[in-house]
Amino acid sequence: MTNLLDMRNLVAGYGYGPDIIHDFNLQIKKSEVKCIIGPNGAGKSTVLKAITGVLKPRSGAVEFEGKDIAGKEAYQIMRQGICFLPQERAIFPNMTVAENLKMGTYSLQDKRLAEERIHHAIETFPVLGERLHQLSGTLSGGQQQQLVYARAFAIQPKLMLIDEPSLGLAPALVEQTFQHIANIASSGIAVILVEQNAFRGLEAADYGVVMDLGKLVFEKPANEVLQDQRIRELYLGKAAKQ
Amino acid sequence: MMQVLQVVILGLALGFVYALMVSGLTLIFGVMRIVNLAHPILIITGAFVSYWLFILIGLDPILSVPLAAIVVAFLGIVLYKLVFEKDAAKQTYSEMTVLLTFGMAMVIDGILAFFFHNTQRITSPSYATDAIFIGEIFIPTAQLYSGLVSVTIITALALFLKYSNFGVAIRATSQNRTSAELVGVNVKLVCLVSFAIGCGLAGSAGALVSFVFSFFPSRHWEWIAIMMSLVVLGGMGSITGAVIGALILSVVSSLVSAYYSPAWSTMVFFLALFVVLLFRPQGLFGVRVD
Ligand SMILES: Nc1ncnc2c1ncn2[C@@H]1O[C@H](COP(=O)(O)OP(=O)(O)OP(=O)(O)O)[C@@H](O)[C@H]1O
Ligand SMILES: [Mg+2]
Repeated sequence: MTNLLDMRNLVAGYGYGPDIIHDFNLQIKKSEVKCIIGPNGAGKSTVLKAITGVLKPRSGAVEFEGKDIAGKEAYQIMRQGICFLPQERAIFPNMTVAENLKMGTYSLQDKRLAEERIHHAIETFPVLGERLHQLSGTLSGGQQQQLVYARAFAIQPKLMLIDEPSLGLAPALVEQTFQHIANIASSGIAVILVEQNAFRGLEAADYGVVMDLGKLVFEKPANEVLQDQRIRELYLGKAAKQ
Repeated sequence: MMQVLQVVILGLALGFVYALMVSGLTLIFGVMRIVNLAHPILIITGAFVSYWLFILIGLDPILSVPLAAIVVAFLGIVLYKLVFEKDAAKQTYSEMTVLLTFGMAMVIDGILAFFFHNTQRITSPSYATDAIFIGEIFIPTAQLYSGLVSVTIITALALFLKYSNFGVAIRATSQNRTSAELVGVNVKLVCLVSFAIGCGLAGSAGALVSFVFSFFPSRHWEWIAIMMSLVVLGGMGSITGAVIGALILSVVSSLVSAYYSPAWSTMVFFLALFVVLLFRPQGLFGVRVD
């Protein structure tokens, strides 16, 4: 099967600063889930930003469904079918829940289809349905998190990139979030996940991608990474002992 | 009592004009974090457009509102392309824009003064010196008309931002630029169009100002501080806030002028600026465009 996303020899960095990502390669096929792990500052978020156009790659190729997307604007890449949930909570605080959901279908021309998708998102997240006219900035943290996922549902991407979904969430919410991710994956959407809680992230993934200092260390099936003794000591440390 | 009502109504009419004067300023700040100190000189540019159209072909300044808006919006697009386009995509450079737009204001001021000199002018359509009476309340028609046109334009702007697709994209960009991009908003286009709309609003305000206040190129220095006090009270970036701030300060300054001394009425704006910055720097309505 051909790759949905094919990234080769990616080099990326910020402003006039040094290269942060060096010669990075990453491929993903339809319906696959990959989890990128690595220490703080390894460049995991930077890789996601470079794929989605939030940061323009310095060199290298990024192909999505065979089309070159490197250097394109973020909104153009999004319209190809890549949805990015960045680390910071990505809602529009002074818009109502309904308006936020509607933003998920912003680039959709077919208004009927847009309404269907919003309707479907509300069905999947009934809590939001009760608060459609509330300003989303006044929702609780957990509800805001749900709103982000509901909006992603309305986008219906082919590939979803999720940065640190569990960061700063209470344990119950972490479970809920991984449930959302499992649902996304089972609906056929490919997922690239970056997760601080490597243990939990790898459990949800087919493949583990280990990176450090802006480079790929290795990539293996997730269960092998979970068994790998070095990885258990280095990255899974606390989580593995729990 | 009647007299208080009279003063309040005059203050409100003027307040809506002030609100229109600052709506573009606050829109541009909300979307791009550009503190556009050249906004008042753009208003004066709009006033000159209306003034000359009136002098040369006798066009009523209310009818030249759209023309002044278009001319200044076009000027805005040119300025944006020349000065801001490269950096507008970065959300963190509002300090730098203060210097940049200050310089821009000086240049435009210089050009206008070179051609038209710093003599006082006012557009004088027939209604400019009229007044109407509603019961015992007397309202100069210039203020009534300019207030009504301002309300109309501000309402149109609010509806556009609330309901149109592009208006929603503008609000989304001002609230969370990265998220807006990530749901498919062409943020660069939003920036350009918002800048043009903001400047167009300045131009339309200029057409109205041209028959309400006397103006000359360097008068904008005086307006900068007043306009800053209005947007700071409302909360930089909030259009609702700017309107409410403008109405409150305009009424208060009219009351001070009527019951204390006209010499102190301008003080109201600066005092408000000072107090708000000291005790509630985010203003009444935070920092977002609504
Ligand atoms: N906006 C930025 N401007 C400049 N440098 C940045 C920026 N964001 C990240 N960096 C630098 O890039 C490097 C990689 O950062 P990145 O956020 O990609 O790491 P990460 O693997 O996601 O780490 P974490 O686990 O802490 O999220 C770090 O050295 C960081 O200091
Ligand atoms: Mg990160």
